[in-house]
Amino acid sequence: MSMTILTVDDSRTMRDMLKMSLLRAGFTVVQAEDGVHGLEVLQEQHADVIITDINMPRMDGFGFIEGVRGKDAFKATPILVLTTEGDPEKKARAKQAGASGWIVKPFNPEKLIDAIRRVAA
Amino acid sequence: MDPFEEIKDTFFQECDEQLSELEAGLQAMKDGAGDDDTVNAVFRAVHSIKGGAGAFGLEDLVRFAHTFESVLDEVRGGRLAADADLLNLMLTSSDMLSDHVRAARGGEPADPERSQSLVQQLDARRLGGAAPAPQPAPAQGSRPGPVLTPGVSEDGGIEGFDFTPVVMAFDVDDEASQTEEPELPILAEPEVADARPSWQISFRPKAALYASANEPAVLLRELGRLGEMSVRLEAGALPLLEDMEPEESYLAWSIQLATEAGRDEIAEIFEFVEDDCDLGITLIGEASGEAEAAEPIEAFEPEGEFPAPEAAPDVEALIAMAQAMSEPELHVEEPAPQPAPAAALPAAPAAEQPAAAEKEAGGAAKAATQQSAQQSAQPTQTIRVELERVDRLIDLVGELVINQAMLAQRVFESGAARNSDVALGLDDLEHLTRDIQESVMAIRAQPVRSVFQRMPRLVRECAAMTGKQVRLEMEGEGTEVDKTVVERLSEPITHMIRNAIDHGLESTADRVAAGKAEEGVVTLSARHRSGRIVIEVADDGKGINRKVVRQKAIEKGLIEPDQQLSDEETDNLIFLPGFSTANEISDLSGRGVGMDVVRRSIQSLGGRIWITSRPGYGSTFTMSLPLTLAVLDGMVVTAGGQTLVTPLATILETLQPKQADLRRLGPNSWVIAIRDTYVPLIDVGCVLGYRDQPLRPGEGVALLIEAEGGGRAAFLVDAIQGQRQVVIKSLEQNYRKVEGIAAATILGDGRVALILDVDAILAKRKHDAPQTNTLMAAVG
Repeated sequence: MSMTILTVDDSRTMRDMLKMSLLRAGFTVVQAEDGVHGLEVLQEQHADVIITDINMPRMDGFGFIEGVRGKDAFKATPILVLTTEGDPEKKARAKQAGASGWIVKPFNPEKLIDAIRRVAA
Repeated sequence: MDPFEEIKDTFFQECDEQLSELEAGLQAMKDGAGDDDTVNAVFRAVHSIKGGAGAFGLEDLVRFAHTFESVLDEVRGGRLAADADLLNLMLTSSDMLSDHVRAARGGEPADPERSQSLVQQLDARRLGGAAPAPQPAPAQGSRPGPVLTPGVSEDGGIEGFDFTPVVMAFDVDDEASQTEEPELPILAEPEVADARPSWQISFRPKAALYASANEPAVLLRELGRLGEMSVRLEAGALPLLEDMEPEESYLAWSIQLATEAGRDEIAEIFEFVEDDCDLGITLIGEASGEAEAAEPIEAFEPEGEFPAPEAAPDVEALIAMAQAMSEPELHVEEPAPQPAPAAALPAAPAAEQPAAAEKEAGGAAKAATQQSAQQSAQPTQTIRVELERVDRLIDLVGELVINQAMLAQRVFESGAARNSDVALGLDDLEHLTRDIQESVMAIRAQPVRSVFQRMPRLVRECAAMTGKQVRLEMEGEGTEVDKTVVERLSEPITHMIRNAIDHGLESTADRVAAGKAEEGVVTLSARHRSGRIVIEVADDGKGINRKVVRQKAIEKGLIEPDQQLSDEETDNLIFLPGFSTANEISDLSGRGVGMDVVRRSIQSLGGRIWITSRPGYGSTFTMSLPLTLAVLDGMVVTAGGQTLVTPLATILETLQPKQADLRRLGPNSWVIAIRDTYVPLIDVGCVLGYRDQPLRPGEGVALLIEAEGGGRAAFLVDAIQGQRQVVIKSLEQNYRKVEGIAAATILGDGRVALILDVDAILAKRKHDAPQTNTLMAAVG
């Protein structure tokens, strides 16, 4: 069974890009539009890895990561955040919230898969 | 379509949404209605556009968006005050951003000088407003190796710019790299006998590493992919089981790695955890010669109660052990399902499944599962469907409506009582059919927002060109109408708004003199009314100068000097062809298009447009349009034994012609007096060739028709059968083009009825009897 990856991003473009890259690499993809939606999806859906944007309406990536880490079932689920230009402050805040790593936008599929490899068992 | 192009399409769609959100947010801030959420939304809009544009390598767009975003970031962080000047600058910048998006789409390029000037202004505001110093370019980090955005080095990337788009290369053969995934290529031999440079790595995770769900086993596995590796567990540091804290970290590893990879590549593996572990990476062997090289492996020689590995440690066991340690939160009673390490990355599925897994049958099932999972979690779901499929459905429902009507008619013809079970069942069916029809039509319905959202910019530009102060108020952007109608609304609305600002509103000085507020208001609104959409463009300007309009109409020969017209009729003269010409209207609303063109485009959609005006208080243009072009409200009539449908929108009134109202103008030409004016009387049966002999005066019923071009005529028919909504069927596609006929429909009794092309009939009549106009004038 292939790994299921939850992508959380308010941008349809970014969701589609992630989806295409991940499907091509053989992953199963589940999507959510923002933090609130992401947490709702996780109520019903298992995810092996989570990839989330930071800047989102309703609930941003930091809030979402904290929410995920608050669930027993997802304490050990790797979470990668999508950031731009290697913003050190955002990375630090994301790590503080419980993120496992980051993907710098714009990413290419190789780097994306590479980042997943470094966190996914 | 190429999936990459498909995503690009999505990106541009999203750009449109974000641009309108940006504009609405900036406008709200300008009106003092914005809060933190507004500022965040505005920032997010520009940020998203930049992010997507980066992925597609749209450099100009990225560059401009980046500058814009930097200013918004300052505003968001409270370091720069969004005063009126800045908001105006940002509104103009949002227009420029929109130009860059248009250019990226392959449209007209953005004005480079204007763009550059805006960039400078934005930078000036950012640097002037930022507290200590200009925001430093976001550092890519001290490690040059693991840079995920190549080219973003000090001298790389876009000149003087800290963001380099990386075009996604989707032809990357990542499947291949997945399938070749080695089975954890960790050497079982402790001694690495390899010609490649050899590295000594010490790795001691802290508890924080596990807390962020990172996994030493995974990192070791990834390290193993770089070359040949031997791993030793530093078991000596382990406390007794009873002394272990469940969430503490005790394991450490010593690794020897022979690889061509450099230090940076090795460090990259640990990039996410560098602050959460003690990490030592040292080159040993020939290449090194460094004194501090390599702690001897013996230093990690296990001791104490843990059995020392005889030779090579069982790597699998080590990894399993590390994994077990890394999951302190697992509940004993209910262990969370975790994939076995061997299941690792999805190498096998990638090999077995084609790239477009989703399109496969198996993928469809997967997608369905996903879909159902999302459905339960997400309040509003959308799917994208090809328009053709929707149109096919609309077509089928049209057939269903016709069939239902036919069935009902047959049942009643067969003598079934109105209250019989069959009749009642048919009533239910009719309601259901109408509901289905409405629901299906609703699929094609779209809010007029997409058109409305282009108007604030237009108003800003027009205001700037005329030097007037204008505020645009919009209502009912969510009002829905058929997609085709939405697409064709832009031009007439644009024209009416230009007209309202250019001709409707007074200059600021004149407004002040008239005791009005300096700022003129243009209101654009949409609403549903009796199954149609009504769009109004109103201004609070000076209203129509009827004297001038009348004078001009006389000069142009559109009316007779002594013709009596009501105020309303005078106002609506502006829609007559030839009333306005390009050389006499200003640059702004002119552009060679008169209001008659606007009227024609509205009428071609089955709509009507008129103006109402109050001198000194302003004017209102009102458009009334059908909600869909797939069905038509029609008047079913008979002429020469044929059943015909006349579009209801063209009928002003119906009347029974009296002998006294008719005047003969030629052997076959008649006019009819309707109140104080004469219009030509057209015998539809004759014009269409259904009979040779015209109806005798006083026979039949007349429909007073107004055609698209504004011409009026009375259509003489045998009888009126009633009003009905009919499903439009193309005659051209199913038969051939017939002069005077716009389309066809199928009636309840199964007969085909032709829908009249009112304009064509009027034109044909003029052509056949060119003298009519002259004669009419004489009579009038």
